[in-house]
Parts: sequence; C-alpha cells; structure tokens
Amino acid sequence: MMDFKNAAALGACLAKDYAQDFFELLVNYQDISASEAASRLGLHIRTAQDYLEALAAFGIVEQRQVTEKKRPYYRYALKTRRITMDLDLNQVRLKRTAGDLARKIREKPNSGTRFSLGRSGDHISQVAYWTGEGRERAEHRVSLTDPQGRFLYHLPFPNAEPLSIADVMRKAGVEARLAPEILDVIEILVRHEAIETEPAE
Amino acid sequence: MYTIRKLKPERSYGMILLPIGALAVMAAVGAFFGLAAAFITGGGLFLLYAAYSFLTYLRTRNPGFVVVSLFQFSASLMGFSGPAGMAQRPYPPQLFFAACMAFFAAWMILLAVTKRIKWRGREILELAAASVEHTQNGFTARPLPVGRTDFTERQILEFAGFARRHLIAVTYVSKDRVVFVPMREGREPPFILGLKADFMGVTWVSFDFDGNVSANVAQREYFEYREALSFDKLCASLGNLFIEFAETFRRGEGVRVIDRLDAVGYSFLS
Repeated sequence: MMDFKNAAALGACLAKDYAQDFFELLVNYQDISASEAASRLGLHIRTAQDYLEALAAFGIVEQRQVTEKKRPYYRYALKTRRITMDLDLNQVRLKRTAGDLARKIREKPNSGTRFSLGRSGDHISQVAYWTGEGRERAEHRVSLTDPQGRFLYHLPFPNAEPLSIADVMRKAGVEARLAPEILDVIEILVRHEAIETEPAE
Repeated sequence: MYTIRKLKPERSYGMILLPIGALAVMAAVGAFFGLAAAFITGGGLFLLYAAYSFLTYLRTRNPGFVVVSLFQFSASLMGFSGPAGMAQRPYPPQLFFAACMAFFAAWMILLAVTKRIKWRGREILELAAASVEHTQNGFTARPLPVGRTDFTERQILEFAGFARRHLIAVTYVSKDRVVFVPMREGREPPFILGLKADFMGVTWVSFDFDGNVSANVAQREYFEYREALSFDKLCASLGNLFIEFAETFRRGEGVRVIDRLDAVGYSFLS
C-alpha cells in the first residue's frame, strides 16, 4: 500500500505529456538508455534521465549500468507490465480522539473574523479572516459546506457560555458522522483565533 | 416613575427640521431671485416631501402618512399659488389651500404627538435590553438562532403587515422567511426610497416559514447602549420580544403591542 506522498508522485509521473510515449518505448524495447529515449521522443536528455530514474525509484523499471568505450551509463528495462496504485484514504482522515467532541467552544471576542450569512438566513456560508501584517496582510475566505455552515450558525457568541462541540452539533441538527468536517473547520478557526476552546470537564 | 434608560439619549428633529429647511431655502432664493421664485421653490420642495410621505404610506400602509402627505401637498399648492396671490388679493384658491394646510397640519401634529407616525426602533431596542445585564463586550456580527415557533406562513405575513403599519419594523419578505428590521426615527429614508435592498449591517429579526426565529443586533445599534450588554442575551431578548409581539397580535390583541411600546415613554421626537 502506498502512502499519499508516493501516490501523488506516481500520479504526477503518469500525468506527464510524454508519459504514454515513454511507456510505449519501454514496452516495445528490450531496454533503453536515457539518450536513446530522449532522441526518440524529442526530449532533453536530462528530462528523460529524470523520468527513467523516477520510474526506477517506483520499481517500474530496472536500472542496469553498462560500460561502452570506458564510459559507464545506465540502461533501463521495464520490470512490470502492470502498475497498480493502492491508496488507503483513511490515512488522511482526521485523527479524532474521544475528547474532541467534548471540547467546549465559543466565538472569540474581537477576532475580526467575518461570518457571511447564507441566502436562506439559517446558516453561515463563508468565513473570512486576515493573516499577515502590513503589505503581506491578506484576506482568506473559507466557503463552508452546509453542515459546517449550520454548525457555525449555532456557535456560542463571545462571552456566552461555551458549549461542547457535540452540543452545538445537536443544536444545529448536524449528524454525528459529519464530525470530521466540523472538526476540520473548527481547527482552521482555532488556528486563526476566531474560536476559543476549553478542554472538556 | 423614573425609568433608567439603557440607550443613549437621541433626538430626531427631522420632522421639524424639514419644514424649517424648506423655509430657509425659500428665504435664500427670495433674497436672490425675488418672492415669486421663493414661493415656487417652496412649492417644489413641499411637493417632493409630499411624494416621499406618500411613498412611505405605500411602503408601510400607515394611513398617518397620507395625512402628512396631504399637509405637504397643501403647502406645496400654497407655494405654487404664491405669485398669483401676490398679484391678486385675496386670491380665493390660496385661501382654500391655506385652510387645507392648517387642517392637515393640526391633524398631523395630533398624529405625531400620539406617536402614530413615529418609527418605534428605539422603543424596541429599549424593551429588548430591559432584562439584559451588563457584561464585557461580546459583540459578533453573527445572528443568534432564538428558537422555534408554530406560526404559519399566513400568520407571519399578517404580523409583518401589522409591524409595517404601526412602524415597528420595515419588512423584507422572501419566499421562505420574513425579516423585520426595527427602524429608528430618521433612519428610514434609505429603506423607504428603496436604496437599501438588503438588511446587511442592520438589526433584524427573522421568522422563517418553518418556524425558526433568528435575531441579529448590528454593531451600530449595540454601541447605542450606554454600557456593554451581554450580547447573546440581547439578541435572544430581541428575538423573544418579536415572538411575544407576534403571539399578542395572533390573539387579536395588537393594540397591547402598541400600548407596550408607548409605555416605554419615549417622546415623539426620539
């Protein structure tokens, strides 16, 4: 099974414009050098070399050093005719602990965060906050999903009694299975000091 | 009985300043272009006032504004007939316009003093704050979900008509809710003239047709209170006040809503 970083790198490799042409060469040739592939595909030799090395790193091609006229170089041969990508998306799921939903939260006073009300008036559609100082100061807008919007609509006001995340979800009518996306937006707003949290009692 | 107010004092002199302003403009025009031009200018200004008052009537259906509009229209006709009145004395039409003007002016003053043409925003804000304690500034621009009611769409729309007619609030009616914007005296022109197409940045209470009630207190209104009030409680109190008004109206006791607003004791100028 691949981790997400490797899967992304392999995906990027396969997404190159010349990837299909490259694989045609590798499938039909017994082995090939970077300069032969580059001349055949009209690529720079460095591009072909990098591509073949990347495929070798993924174990798709085999790299073999040969010596002709005293100067060693590499030839590449296809090791497998099938590429499978096995990626378990649970590894990028937010790690939740039992106490996450018991944490008490409320809006932080004077955070400067702007909550835009949705058209129907019963949810927040967008949150905007500022980062940086001086010329680097920039506004960031987060468009919210419907459950996130309903959750933030019911977020306790600054100086109001804080409520647990689970309680706010209940008030907002957000199902428990949607907790990961709620926790995600809470993390963003806590990081940008729009929400303050208290540990569960 | 002495009542401690939570709102800072404020006077709205628009009702008095408008005619005084028109007279000042007339005086200036008269000084430069003569008396006839001054009368015509005054007639034009009062015609504009009359159109605005009639538009207010169309938006609110408060019949008091028809009286105001008729007073201003009479004053406008007085102005336009001024040059003829100067040439021929007495000029019967002008006497008739003067009589109309005096009649409608007396009626208008009666309506003003009895607060029948007064926007009730300050009373609403005062009542909403009555039970709210002082605390640190807890302002947020987010609305507060106040609760659920069992009003039908028709009942909400009927209450909206009542609130408009008695100048309790300007209303925004959409396909799924009605938003009530309590209007303070002197703040209504953008709403009446249709320059404020939405209710962003103002205080409002929303009744949706599923029964949900939300309330929002704008920063501008929040800072009108002498001290920082518990913001969530203020929003909840405002929402509950409108729910209470709607329930009173549903029982057929709308007059009690007006009595309650009158009991706050603000003068017709505030």
